[in-house]
Amino acid sequence: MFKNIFNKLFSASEKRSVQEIQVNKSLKKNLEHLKQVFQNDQTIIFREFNRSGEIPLWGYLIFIDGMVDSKMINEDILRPLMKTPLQPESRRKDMEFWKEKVMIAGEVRLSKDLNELIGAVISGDTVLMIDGVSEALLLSTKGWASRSISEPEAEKVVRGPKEGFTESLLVNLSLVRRRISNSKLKFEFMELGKITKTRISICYIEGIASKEIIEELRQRLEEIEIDGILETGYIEELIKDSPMSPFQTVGDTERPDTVAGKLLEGRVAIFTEGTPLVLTVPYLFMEYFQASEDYYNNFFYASLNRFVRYIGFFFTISVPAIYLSIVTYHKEMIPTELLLSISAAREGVPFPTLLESLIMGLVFEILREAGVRMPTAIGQTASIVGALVLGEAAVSAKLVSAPMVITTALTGICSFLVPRMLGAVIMLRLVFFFLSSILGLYGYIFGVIGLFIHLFSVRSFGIPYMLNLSSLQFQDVKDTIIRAPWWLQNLRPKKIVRKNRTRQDTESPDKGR
Amino acid sequence: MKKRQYICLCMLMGILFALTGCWDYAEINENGIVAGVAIDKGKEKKYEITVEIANPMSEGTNVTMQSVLISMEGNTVFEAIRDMIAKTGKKLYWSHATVMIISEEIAKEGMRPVLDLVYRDPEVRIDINLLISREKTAKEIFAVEQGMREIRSYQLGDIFTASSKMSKIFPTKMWHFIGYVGFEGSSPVVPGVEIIRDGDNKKQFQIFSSAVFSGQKLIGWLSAEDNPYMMWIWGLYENGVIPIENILQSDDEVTLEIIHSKETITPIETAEGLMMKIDIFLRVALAELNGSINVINDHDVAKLQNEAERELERKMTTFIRRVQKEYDSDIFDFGLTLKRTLPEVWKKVEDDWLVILEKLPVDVNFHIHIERSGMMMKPIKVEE
Repeated sequence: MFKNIFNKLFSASEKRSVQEIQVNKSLKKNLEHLKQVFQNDQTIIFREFNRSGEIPLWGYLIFIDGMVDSKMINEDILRPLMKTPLQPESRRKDMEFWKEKVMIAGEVRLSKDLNELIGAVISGDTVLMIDGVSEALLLSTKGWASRSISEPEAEKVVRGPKEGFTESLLVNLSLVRRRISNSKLKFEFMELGKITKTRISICYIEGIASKEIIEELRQRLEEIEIDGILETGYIEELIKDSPMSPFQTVGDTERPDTVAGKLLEGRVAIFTEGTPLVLTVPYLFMEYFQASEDYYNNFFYASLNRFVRYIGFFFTISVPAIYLSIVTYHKEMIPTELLLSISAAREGVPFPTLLESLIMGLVFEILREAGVRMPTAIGQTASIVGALVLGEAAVSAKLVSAPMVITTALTGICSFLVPRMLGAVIMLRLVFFFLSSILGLYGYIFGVIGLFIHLFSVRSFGIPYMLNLSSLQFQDVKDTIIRAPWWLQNLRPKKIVRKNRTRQDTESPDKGR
Repeated sequence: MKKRQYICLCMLMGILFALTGCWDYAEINENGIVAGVAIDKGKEKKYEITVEIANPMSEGTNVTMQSVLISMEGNTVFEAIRDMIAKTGKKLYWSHATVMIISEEIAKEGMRPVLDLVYRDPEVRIDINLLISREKTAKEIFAVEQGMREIRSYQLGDIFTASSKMSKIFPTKMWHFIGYVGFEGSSPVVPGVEIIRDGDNKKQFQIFSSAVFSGQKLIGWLSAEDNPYMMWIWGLYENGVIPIENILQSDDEVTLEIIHSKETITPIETAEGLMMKIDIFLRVALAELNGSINVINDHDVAKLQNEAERELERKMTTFIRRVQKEYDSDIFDFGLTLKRTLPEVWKKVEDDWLVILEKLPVDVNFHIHIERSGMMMKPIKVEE
């Protein structure tokens, strides 16, 4: 494996050295080359400028329309180029002169490699070329329209920051940097996607994040050979452990405060250009049930919310299966009164419970999917129609029984308590459901045992997936089903953080409790 | 090739699941829910089984219960039950049956044949309540005209559930009966149910008397007045009331409410022979005082306690004597108590226990402590 990677790196660097093309002294020749590269691309702009007079100057500014800040080009580049009085003794044939004395742009750099220039132009920089100079100036003029920072729709909070990541990588990095003002916060850049050349950034806190995890992540990212990365989902699927598992082993979030919190717990984040979702590794089962708001709210309330989420998870995967098996196999388990009322409700319903439940479940999923894809205005109509038609009308038309509508509704609502797990939950629910339709509660229990075996065998970047959930040590369960008060959370999670686990020093008298 | 085999195997296994047909799978409304069962002597065959089926009917959101009675004769209980499908069209579901009423006639012959199936069958709960019908047949109990609930069996079940607040009725579950039949030195007692005419001349059932068994056979009845004494000895008389008349040489009556009751039965071996000592410790409250005498002072309370103790002791002793004389049955489980406390003595008397029991001297001692007097210190004052 190492050999493989080594070979790859080696061959890549070899290619690069072969392809380096020097900037020619003649502007005409350079232009020819560039025009050939950007053939048929009409967004590229070659802005010619020509200063005549006693000190003539002929050059070109090359940039891509829409990728650059045109105001900056006008004010900070073109104006000084044209207006700066040139003395005969000015070293106008030396790019150093232009870089140091004339340009007002913030990031300016020299380059002799034409290929580098091309890459820079593509990513929104501007190239300045002057006739007779075998060097070009790279001016950072990136300025494209991007969405402003807004609250993430999927992860709204009542208490907590209302900022969310945007599609711009640098803005996203700044959002995290602002929260962790420490030089130990490191960002490493990489380019992924052979065609898209998407910039990604690995972010971690040095000294907290374990080196093994960072190294493992780097290695997995380097092995990606795909042509394009359009969203973090690509990376997530390419690097995740247990690729066939329906459960996530790589986390994603749109909230900078969540990322900051995870970085502080020794996790590593992956930012990707062009998507507001940031990945975090390792990702554990309990993180499904953690919300950033838990850490801001009173710990009793937060623990209650956590508990509700676990219950919701249990309900949403189990209610149809348990209902089916009790009603069709284990009727002796129902209290007599309930049995009679279920029996009365089912009187006249033509379908067996199995089919009834499947149909209702399917209809619910249809409504959900329709609600997600539809514009907001129509979405409401759809949900009202769905609720009315499915709830009231179907029951009074004796197509389904009322208890079935209740179980379906309960199942459906509970599935949104842990929204990130939705896909896995629907799958599990179906599996449990079919198992119970064959064997009753035995089948359900087999399913549960199978689920636990699976969950306990999964690892995320070497960390056991069910970490701390099976622990009886108090220090371990402080951030699982309960959220212990901050004055008790003295240590960072074990295993993820190997060294430097102390979160707060309990020795100091006013903090210890 | 290997891959194709795997795919075939997977498909076959999938089909296997689909074809099993799930032997136990049955929709809830495919079953007739049996609420209670009555067992009588049959006319042509040996038994006549009557089941009461709770049939829920829904019209829109209204759910009404309908009690459906179905009878079937058969030479065995099971035969009759299975043949019932011919009448019901639904397989009967027994797990929610609450009562089993057995006619006096069958009980006199012996309970074993009718209980065997029910005890053996996994579907019937062994905590089903047993009842003996004092009427001619058992099935007519289900056919009474008036009751709190449409399904009569469930009403009977409710009576037993609430009975602990009255302490004059005791439920006898099937496991209980079968257990006591099997123990040496004990005999089961089963509550009896009878039909009475109500104020507006409608039939209604009532549970008050109790049937005394010797072994598996019914040998006689005890009246409702006897139940408290019997239950005291069993340690079940926990919430009852004790009315005492003519207190302190007056015409007044008091009613004492039991707060806590504890009983100990000790067999004592003396030179004259075996003897049973029954101590009953009661903590009571004064619940009712329908006269003008104020008994709430130290002197009178002690007197009242004493009076109540004597009274209860007298009644209890009379009752035990009567049972000993009339019935060849150890309903007080004296034998069992003896076996547990003095096993070596039990070994000696085991064989002719019933003979000894008839003459067994019993010493009853009540220890009453009046603790409270409710919300009032004095009787209601009436100006003459």
